Amino acid sequence: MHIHKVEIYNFRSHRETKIELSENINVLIGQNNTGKTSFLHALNLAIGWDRKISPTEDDFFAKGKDFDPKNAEPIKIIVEFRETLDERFSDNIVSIFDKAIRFDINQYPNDPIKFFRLCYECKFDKEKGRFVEDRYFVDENNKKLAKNPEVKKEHLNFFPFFYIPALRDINKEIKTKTSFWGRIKSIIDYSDKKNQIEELIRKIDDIVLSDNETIEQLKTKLKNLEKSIKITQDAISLQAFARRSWEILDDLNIYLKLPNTDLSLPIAKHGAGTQNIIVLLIFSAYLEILLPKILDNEEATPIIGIEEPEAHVHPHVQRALFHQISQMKGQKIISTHSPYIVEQAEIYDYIVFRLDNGIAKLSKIPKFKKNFQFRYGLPEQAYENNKFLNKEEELKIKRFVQYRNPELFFASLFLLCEGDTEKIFLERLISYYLKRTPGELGITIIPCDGKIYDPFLKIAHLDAFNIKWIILSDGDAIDEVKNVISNNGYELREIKIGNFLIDEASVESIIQGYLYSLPKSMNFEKYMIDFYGEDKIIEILENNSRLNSLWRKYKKQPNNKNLSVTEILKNFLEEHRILFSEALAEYIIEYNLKLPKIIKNLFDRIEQKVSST
Amino acid sequence: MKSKNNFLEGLTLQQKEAVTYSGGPLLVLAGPGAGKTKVLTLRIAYILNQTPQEKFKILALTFTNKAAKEMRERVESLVNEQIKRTYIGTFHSYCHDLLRAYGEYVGLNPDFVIFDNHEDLIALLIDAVKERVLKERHGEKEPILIEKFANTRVIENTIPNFYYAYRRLKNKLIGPKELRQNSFLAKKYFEGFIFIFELYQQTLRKNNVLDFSDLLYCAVRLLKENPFVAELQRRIYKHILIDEGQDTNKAQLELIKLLCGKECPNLFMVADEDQLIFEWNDAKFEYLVELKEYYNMEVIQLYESFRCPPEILKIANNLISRNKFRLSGKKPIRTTKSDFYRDKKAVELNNFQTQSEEAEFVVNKIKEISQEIRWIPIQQNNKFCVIARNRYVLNEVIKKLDEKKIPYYVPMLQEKIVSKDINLILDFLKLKVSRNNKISFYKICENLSLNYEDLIEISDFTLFDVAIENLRNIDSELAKAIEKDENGDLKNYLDQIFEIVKNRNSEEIMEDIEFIESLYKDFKNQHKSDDLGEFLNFLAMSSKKEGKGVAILTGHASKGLEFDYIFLISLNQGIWPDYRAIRKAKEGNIRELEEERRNCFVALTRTKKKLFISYVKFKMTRGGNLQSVEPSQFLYEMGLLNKEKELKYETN
Repeated sequence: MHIHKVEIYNFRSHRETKIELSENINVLIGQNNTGKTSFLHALNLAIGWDRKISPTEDDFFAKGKDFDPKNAEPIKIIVEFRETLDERFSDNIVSIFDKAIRFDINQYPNDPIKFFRLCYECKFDKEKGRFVEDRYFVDENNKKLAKNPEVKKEHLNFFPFFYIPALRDINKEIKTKTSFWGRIKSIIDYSDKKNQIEELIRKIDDIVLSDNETIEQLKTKLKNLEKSIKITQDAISLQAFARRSWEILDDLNIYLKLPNTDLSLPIAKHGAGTQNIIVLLIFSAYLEILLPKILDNEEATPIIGIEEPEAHVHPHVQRALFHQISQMKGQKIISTHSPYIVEQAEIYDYIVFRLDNGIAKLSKIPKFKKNFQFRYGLPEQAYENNKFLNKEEELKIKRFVQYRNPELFFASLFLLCEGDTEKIFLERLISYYLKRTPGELGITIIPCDGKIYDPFLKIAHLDAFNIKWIILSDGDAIDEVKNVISNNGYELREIKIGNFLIDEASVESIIQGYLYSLPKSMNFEKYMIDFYGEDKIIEILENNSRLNSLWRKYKKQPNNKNLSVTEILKNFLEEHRILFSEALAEYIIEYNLKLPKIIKNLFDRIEQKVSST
Repeated sequence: MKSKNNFLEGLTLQQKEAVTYSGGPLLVLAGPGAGKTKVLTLRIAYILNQTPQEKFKILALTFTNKAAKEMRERVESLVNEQIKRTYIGTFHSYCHDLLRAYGEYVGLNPDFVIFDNHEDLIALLIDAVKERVLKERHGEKEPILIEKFANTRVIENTIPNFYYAYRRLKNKLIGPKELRQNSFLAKKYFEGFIFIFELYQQTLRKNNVLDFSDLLYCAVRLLKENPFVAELQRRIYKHILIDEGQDTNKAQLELIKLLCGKECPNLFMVADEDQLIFEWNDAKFEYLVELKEYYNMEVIQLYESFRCPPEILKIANNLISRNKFRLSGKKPIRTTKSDFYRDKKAVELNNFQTQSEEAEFVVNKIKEISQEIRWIPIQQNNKFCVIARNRYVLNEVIKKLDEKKIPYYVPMLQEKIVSKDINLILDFLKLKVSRNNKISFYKICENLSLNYEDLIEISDFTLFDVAIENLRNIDSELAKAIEKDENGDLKNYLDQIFEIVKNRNSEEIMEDIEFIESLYKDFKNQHKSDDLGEFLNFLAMSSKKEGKGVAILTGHASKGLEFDYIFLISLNQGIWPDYRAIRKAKEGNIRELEEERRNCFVALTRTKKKLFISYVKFKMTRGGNLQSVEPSQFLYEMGLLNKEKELKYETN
């Protein structure tokens, strides 16, 4: 059993969050303070295994300045569990959840898929003068079931949620009884060795405490004391290991050898990264060893929320860690800022968090097109045809994420350009012009290998990650680009900004992107020559030591004899586009050149877009 | 260590065999006092104890709340927390729960309210018919009823009969749709009848109301039309136990079949066809036989009675052996308590000139016994009981009891809620749950002397809003308490409402509140969640208050009960058996006569200690004349009288 869907209402920045979860792994990505931790906290409130924490006033979504949590709308967290066609609810599950079980008759009317929705609610009870919590089952419209089975431990035991926060304290883990480590220790049974152990403790005591001058003195002093206060003889003794046998494991600790030495140190003396890994390993061991015993329920699926598993860990190890986590039993929900983690997950498992006017917005890539009514039992081709991304697009995005730009999804704006030339140029100049790096601005600049905008326009779509975008296109084949845009469900409208004509793209009348194109039949280099003039461009080339020598050689090539300077320059730049764009950007910055108009306009637009979100 | 099934000790061989049976569907024939409740409870406990690791549930369906409650309490005391793996309840409460969960699939709103009062429902239907006729008159609707029902008096005279007919049809799983589809039935009833049936069902749905027969009718439709719901039930309930299987009517038969599916390895039905006395409610011997054959059920007969003295069993056996509609190969019932009252006669037959004399004797005898045996106060229940074929016969006894100031109760006349205030509150609560139901609204208007016709016209507001605004002008405190959100704490909510009316110094109010509070306890004992609508329906489906003193019962009402001393009165030909049954038997149809015989069999086997049977020489006709009557043929059949000589029955 796994969480199919989560809905959160009025909990911190989650005003109205609805999101489907993947069965195995879910990767929560987004900038800081976009509601990822709150998401995990919400699950912990609803179905947490240690349900000790209750919300406080600050946990209610604050509406306006005069917000008073006592009058606030209740916090509601709804988790939906749904059987799959391959794994139907067992007889045990249906017996225990009984009338909480609902049917989805639209999908598969003869043998409908079953599900149930558990609602956690917290609100202020004016009569009682305090916040009260409640759990009950709801229908698909979140209405409390008229026939409501009381929510009991036997229900919650099916999906214990474990929350492992970012701050993982190995000392606390090792020392406290309620930690995962403490609980594992508590089931170790050594009662049959009790006598043996006590005997050994006595022997060690003897060895330590005999034949030592100081100890002998101490013993004598104590004897005197015994006499003076007239208590029974031999009442006072010395014990170095004053330990009862059941406390023998209290200091059970993990020792780790330092690399290339024979020195073993307790885990707490190791670096933060190692400690982090060990805490996760202890948890994993806990799940395997102890959980089945506690739950008495073979069908229980642990649901695991881990915050930033990458903390303090080397990139290589981060990858291994992700692998480890994905192998754990149960449904995993990981929040991360690490590109090394993101790159390993499936793109359908990403959940992107963004904050919009103080409200958390969650999105993910849908598996199928919006108008496709998913049903089991259709021919394979039907699913294939209705996929939101086709195989090629999937690969393209995956490749992009894996090899170049895993932080793609952290962006609040995609800047799509034709190739690396433009990317380098834009990257340099954005920082210069807007005084902030693209990262700081939340922009990802994506070179689209010519004009392959499709996959990025798709994932930026309202139905997917809902990311704003700007395309900077060459002036050639602009109609083709427009076609690609409209085929992805955008409506294009020409608008005039200053003296520029650009195209505005919208979905359901929400403006989602802009298309900037260089003047007709111009590419980047041509446009630059056109804007700065040949002389200036040559000056730039000559100012750059590497390009200078290349340019000199190039000019002298025999086949350039009959060509004009204009043509030679154009050919040269085409051959050395990347070097040129780098040199150009540096030159502009160094000599404080004016930006080409279109670029300036584009940057102004970016600034406007970014500051508005 | 004690064996976990040590409760099996002390059972008879047959009882033990039944409790531990694992060979598939089983029919347990249990005569009166054979310990059928014991067998049912122990079987449930046994199954639970045998399968501690399993999660499946056991469904045990009864016909009365009393039986369900008793069974639940006994099982709980045997298995503790494993009780959560059972659903022990009446057919109606099971159907109710099912419909609250999945009623949407047959077009019900999950928070429907149940109305159990015939008058309320008839009034609702009359109202709907009148409204329709009015619309037809104004040309707003196609003229269908106007021809026959233009006259208000006609409506008021016919509709009650229609209403009862609809209920009987629904018990046979025949709704308006089925009537239309079945050409034979469609011909039998005229168009207006079918049309008003449709109107009735629509009106109930529009008001979000279910009547009692709807519970089973809709539940069966739900399971039949949505096999996945039935399938889910079958996966949850791996064992199904039925109490009083002989009382199964068509709707219940279908329900059992749907819950059991084709195979049903674990149907366990306790029945006694000799105690089938609900043919008028469509319970039939044939249904029992149908189930037995459909599931190829094995039969175990429990023929030992732990209740009745041997003399009583002897006359009971004599009587019932005359019936033809019985399962073959049944053994006569024998007793386990032979010598309990050896010094006293267990059966005494008397005859009197008139019913008045008969009543005089009964009342004096009750007094005598209660005084003779000092430790029996009459107020105590289950001690004394007077049984007659019909209520009319009992009136004479009631009169005499009143005269002598002996406490008694007549369950048939018992109202659940007596006081005006509590009735008002309950109507408000029902209206709060189903905010536009006209029945509650109408009753509130009557109760508060408000003008229903005017108020019902107010639109834009729910009827609840309208009613509560009017209550505010009369009793603002009560209005405020009712309006409040229950907040998942029903007890607190109800307490606050009752607190307001408690100081009105009425014993009736206090009794009503006590009754509701005791029902709330039962409600919580069944682990139901604190939902107002569910509680109100629970109240509607609950049994009536139990009275104190001598029980005044008809044969039907005595079913399932037992008393130390029983007076079976006016056992005369034409009274018991009823003259109509005799007439039909003469025409060759013995069904009704056999039902009369079973009814009598049930009545006399209620006795734990002593049975007083009497007949009269003359009965008072309804016109007020004395008419000579013969002793009942049943007295001869029992062997208490013989044809040649009218002799008083003497024991050895």
